[in-house]
Amino acid sequence: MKHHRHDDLLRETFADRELESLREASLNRGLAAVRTKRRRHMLRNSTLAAMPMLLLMAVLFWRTPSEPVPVAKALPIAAIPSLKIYPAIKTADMAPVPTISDKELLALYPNRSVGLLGKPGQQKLVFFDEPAKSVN
Amino acid sequence: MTTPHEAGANPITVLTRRLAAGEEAAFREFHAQYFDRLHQFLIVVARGKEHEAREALQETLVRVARYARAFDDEAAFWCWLKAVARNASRDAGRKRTRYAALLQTFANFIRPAAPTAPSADDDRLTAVIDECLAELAPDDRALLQGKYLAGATVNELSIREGLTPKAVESRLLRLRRDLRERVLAKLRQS
Repeated sequence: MKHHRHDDLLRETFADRELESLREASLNRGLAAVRTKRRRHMLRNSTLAAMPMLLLMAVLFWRTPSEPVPVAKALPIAAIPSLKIYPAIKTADMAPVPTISDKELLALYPNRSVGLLGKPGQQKLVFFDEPAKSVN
Repeated sequence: MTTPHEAGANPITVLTRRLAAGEEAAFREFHAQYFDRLHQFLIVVARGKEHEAREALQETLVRVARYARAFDDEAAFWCWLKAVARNASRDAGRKRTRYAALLQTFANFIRPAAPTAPSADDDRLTAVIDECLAELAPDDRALLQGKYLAGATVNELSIREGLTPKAVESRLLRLRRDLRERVLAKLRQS
């Protein structure tokens, strides 16, 4: 090994401006290489960390059936031409349906031959002057 | 950054571990400690061709930044550094292909660096500088030896020589340049 007593002599003998420039330039180049190395390490570590997840995804992909089960395609409602969409009617806005008695119902048709047939609660309004035409 | 666990560890182990981990502060520390030593080593390897030595030095430092790994003792680390420096010098000198250089680097990376006895290159520069000092005029040699080997200050030397401190500094500068030319010339002849 070099004698330590020569260290200062050697250093000052070979020191000049060019060497000082090289000292600075080589430090900067080395630091750039260190940064690149660190970035590569981080990328490698990230890849290794993500590897189990990628493997799991690959296994799941391979285990899915090769022929997919047919699934009906849902068309958007707007794409069906025959379908008309009406705005929803709010129950609160509707007037209550009036209830009338049997006599009041028959009185609505004074000039017709009409009667109520059937058990109470399931009766039908029958017009005798118009065969086979009834109203529930 | 040094962890409490590393506080009691061998300094070279801590430094090389941090270098291997890609720590910028560790590289700054390494650069401050080894720049001159590697430069002097490469001057010998390049046989006094300063330009080649400096080119190889730059390449060596970049390779250390890229491929550094942990070492348990300074001797092993210095052996590895010398191997990297020699290869950098050889690659620069012979203009090797990138592939061959990569293979060599890989071989150095996987080869275990066993601590070895100091090589001839380690002592060569010291021996040459001693030879060159011996060739100087006795007054000049005494001045250089007083300053660098005995550790005298410029003021002490100026009193001893009967010169102003500025005159001593100028004389030392001239002697260092002379010594450098002699050393490089001897290395080129070797």
